[in-house]
Amino acid sequence: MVILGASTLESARLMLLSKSSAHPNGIGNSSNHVGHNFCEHVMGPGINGLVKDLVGKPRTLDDGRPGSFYLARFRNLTDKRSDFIRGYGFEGSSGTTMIPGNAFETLGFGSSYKKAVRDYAGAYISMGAFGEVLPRYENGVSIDPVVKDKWGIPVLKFNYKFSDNEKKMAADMAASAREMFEASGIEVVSVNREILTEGWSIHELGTSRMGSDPKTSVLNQFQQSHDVPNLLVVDGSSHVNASCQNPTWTIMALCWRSCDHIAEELRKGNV
Amino acid sequence: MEGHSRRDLLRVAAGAVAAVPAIAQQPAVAAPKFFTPVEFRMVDELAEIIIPADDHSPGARAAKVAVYMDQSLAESFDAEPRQKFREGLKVVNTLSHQMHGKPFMDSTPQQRVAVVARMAENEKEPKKPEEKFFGELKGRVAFAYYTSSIGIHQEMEYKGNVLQTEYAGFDASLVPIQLPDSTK
Repeated sequence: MVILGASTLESARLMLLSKSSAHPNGIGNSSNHVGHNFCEHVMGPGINGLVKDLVGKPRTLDDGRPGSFYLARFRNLTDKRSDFIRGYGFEGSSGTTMIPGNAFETLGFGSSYKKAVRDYAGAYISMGAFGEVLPRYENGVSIDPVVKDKWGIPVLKFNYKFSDNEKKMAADMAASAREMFEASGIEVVSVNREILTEGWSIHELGTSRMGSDPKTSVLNQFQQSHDVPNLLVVDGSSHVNASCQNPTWTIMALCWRSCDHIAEELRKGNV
Repeated sequence: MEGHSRRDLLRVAAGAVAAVPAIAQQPAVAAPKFFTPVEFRMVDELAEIIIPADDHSPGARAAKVAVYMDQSLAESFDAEPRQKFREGLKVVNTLSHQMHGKPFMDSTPQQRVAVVARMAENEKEPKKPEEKFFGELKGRVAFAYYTSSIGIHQEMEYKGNVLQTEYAGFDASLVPIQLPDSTK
């Protein structure tokens, strides 16, 4: 039994490099899907705002209080949008911290600057979005024919670009962030509309996708290779899409399922 | 033992205190590691102009912001920040000459503030060398001040990093909530 968990990109690299007469395209790759359907999260758009009621208030102890928040996905659940599919969530934070971040944003100098930093610290609230990058066959990684790492092993070559869906979703992130802050009575300080470059989220997923059909997927529901039954891939490779959440818990849950399956097969004497 | 360094205490512990008059040896300001004495005084003055003492708390001078900046520049792996900063201080003196016909430290307190005000004119979109240096200078001063003991505790009155005996958050389990019918 070989259990591969080198993380999404390195697992794909290892599988694509593991060629033999039985596996000419790399191990477990009869479907030609290893390295494809690479996906992650589109980030960048977000908002910074000011809660005016908190300006100049006595300092409070905010450590251990839930000043950070998560806004779960709300787009395309009931009312469907016409410009993009799927959705995004927001992660945000507020409250007093040990070092006032607004000291580096507040303009000016002298006693007015010092007082502004003091009065406005703890009155800011900000959030940024994590959106789903759609899995597409053409988005992926392959073995670079030229570049090798310092051990002489070929590196991965990326063929990965955001599509219109991600760009339209990102535009909506900025717009909905503003809408929510304005509706909440939060003064909008700045709205960021820029998309961070591809790969920024470092939530790499989906290079050996899971599925029931060996012709169109690499792994089964137990993250076990369709082609090579004693090979399991237990990182983010099996994800069929990125959704919009941090993937670690899903990776852990799927790994748990894989372990249960192995234990059960061992008990039956099949392993 | 107020005012004694750890080393002094070790000397006391070793019984060597009579041989070393520890307090008399303590210089008022440690010798700068990177700045020249003239540069050090200039940075100290610029820092105090940017974050002055007020009726709420001491300023950058009391927080020894210039000492921190001197050390962080001295310890930078890269020579570039040191060069840039030294050039920046020269630019401040050039500006002071243009405005008042004398170096920054030879000017009156009002003239010094006027020089800094000129440097700060285009903070959002700095173009001239002195405007660009203002952002660099202020960023370092703010970082040094707001991470100092005076900055954290006296100026910002930080209340955290203490033992909390009760849950400080909002306990959602105490809120009556009508769950949607999962059978529908």
